[in-house]
Amino acid sequence: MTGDAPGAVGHEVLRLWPSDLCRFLSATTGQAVHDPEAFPLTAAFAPFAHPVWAIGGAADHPDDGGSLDALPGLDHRSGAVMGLGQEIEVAAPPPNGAVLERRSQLTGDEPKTGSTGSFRLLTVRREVVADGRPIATQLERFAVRDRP
Amino acid sequence: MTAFRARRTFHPVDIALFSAATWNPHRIHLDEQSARADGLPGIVVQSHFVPAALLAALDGDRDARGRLGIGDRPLRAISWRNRRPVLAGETVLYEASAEDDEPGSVTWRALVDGEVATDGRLGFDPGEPGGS
Repeated sequence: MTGDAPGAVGHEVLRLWPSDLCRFLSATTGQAVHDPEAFPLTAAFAPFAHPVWAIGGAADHPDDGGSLDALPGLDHRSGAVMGLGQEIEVAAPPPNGAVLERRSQLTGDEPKTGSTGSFRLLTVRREVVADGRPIATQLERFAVRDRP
Repeated sequence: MTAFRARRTFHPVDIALFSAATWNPHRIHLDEQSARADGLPGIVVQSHFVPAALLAALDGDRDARGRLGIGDRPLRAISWRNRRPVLAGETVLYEASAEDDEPGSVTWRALVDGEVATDGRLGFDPGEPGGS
């Protein structure tokens, strides 16, 4: 741990481009999707698809400019980072072209020992708003282990 | 009782597409050599991709949504734990069941070769079964 990482807050501003949503839908559905507006997502899926695009993998990982990297002072780059689990609450899908703000806060960083050896357990809470409207919150847990 | 089953094989191209869409440049999702350097046996499917593919499959199965008692009601919450990595080329069997004592609550799991890779819960707007 270095710097002022505990409680550190990262802030990113993103734009939801239709082309990104096309890639998301193409990957998840296995179909070629060229027009996200025309794709028949039901209410059961749409509230998930958009926030996951927004808060999703969006780079929780080291060395790659990810959102863990957005947390000031967090030293995680020397280890192998794996996501352990997620708790996501979704509010509403944002419109295409919306400007998203994503705030990430490190809420936990503690040493652990498991069946596969010792690791650091990081807990990150994220909130996403689109045009000032809440879209989703996410609680994510990571393990950071020494590289083999 | 399992009300929904579906299979999905994760192709490396789809994994790369998902990384592009979610701005996730972590190399373990794109490059086998980098994945091995992190102690993994191959390219890893993104943690978010596993439930996203479940929801996409569920989205296209009106009968299953009826059996689960969720109709077209909106998703409000999703959670999961990663029990083991899902690798490129592996086929996942999804199973989902309604929780009888909690309207709108669905448990789900993703199995690879009979082993649970991911399991979790979906929470939909509670309401009358079949309603939207």
